[in-house]
Amino acid sequence: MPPFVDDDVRYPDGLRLIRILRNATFWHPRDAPTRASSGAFQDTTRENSCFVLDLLARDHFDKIANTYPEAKLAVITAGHARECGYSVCDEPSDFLPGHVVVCPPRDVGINAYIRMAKRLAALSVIYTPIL
Amino acid sequence: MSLITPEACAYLDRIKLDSEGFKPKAVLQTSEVIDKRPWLACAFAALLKVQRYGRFEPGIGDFRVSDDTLNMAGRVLGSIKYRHLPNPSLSALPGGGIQITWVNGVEAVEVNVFPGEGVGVARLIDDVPTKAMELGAAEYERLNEFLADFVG
Repeated sequence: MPPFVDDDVRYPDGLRLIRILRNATFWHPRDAPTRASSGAFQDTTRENSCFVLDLLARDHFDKIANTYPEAKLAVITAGHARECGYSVCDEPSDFLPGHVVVCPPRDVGINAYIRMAKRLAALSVIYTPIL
Repeated sequence: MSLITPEACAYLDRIKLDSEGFKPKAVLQTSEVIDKRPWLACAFAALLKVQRYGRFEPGIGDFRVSDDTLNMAGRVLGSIKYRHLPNPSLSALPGGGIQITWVNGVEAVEVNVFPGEGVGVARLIDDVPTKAMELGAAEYERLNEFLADFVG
């Protein structure tokens, strides 16, 4: 597991990050979602995949929609993540450009992690791309 | 995962063959003896489904659930003593964990099984934790305290 390091130069606080919400489990409320649920920021490997919004173009959103037709998107800022105790770390991916991992401290306990995830989820907003 | 686990057979130890009123029944009629928690079968079925459909999802996370994690979640469910509960919703968390949730309006009890680590349980009001606890392998029965508040 690579030693992920918070990169606040490359990913400043104002930068918007997209998290793909796989299904209704990961948004809240389930019937009329306004934000992500805590499960969206609670990857048990402690690496929550996000994408830099400014680096995503129309074809990237098409790819997300085609790959995950039932998914929704949530947006947070890198500053929100840091405010809740996460680091925003570089982690290139083949799937889409601008992939980062939003990581809690490695040694964080389960309950503390869940509380962090709930705080971050409460700051998120459902995002609908204008294409 | 086998449904014939000690947890699923919690009432077998209370049966005495010579007790008054005991009458042997056909095999197909023994479900009431084996378990009196109607929600448990649904929960186990959902648990198996979570594992069956879990896969690596590029850009989101790895939703594959290991047998060990599945068994851990099964032991958590088996430790619940209440007969009448709503069916919980179960889902895989990215990273291979399992989330089990009972919802009643704005109130909820949420159990998070972290692979190879442990179990977190929280009582929530409008998705905000009001009480939370981390449970070790010998402490799963403490989940009943959370559900007692929830159903009471």
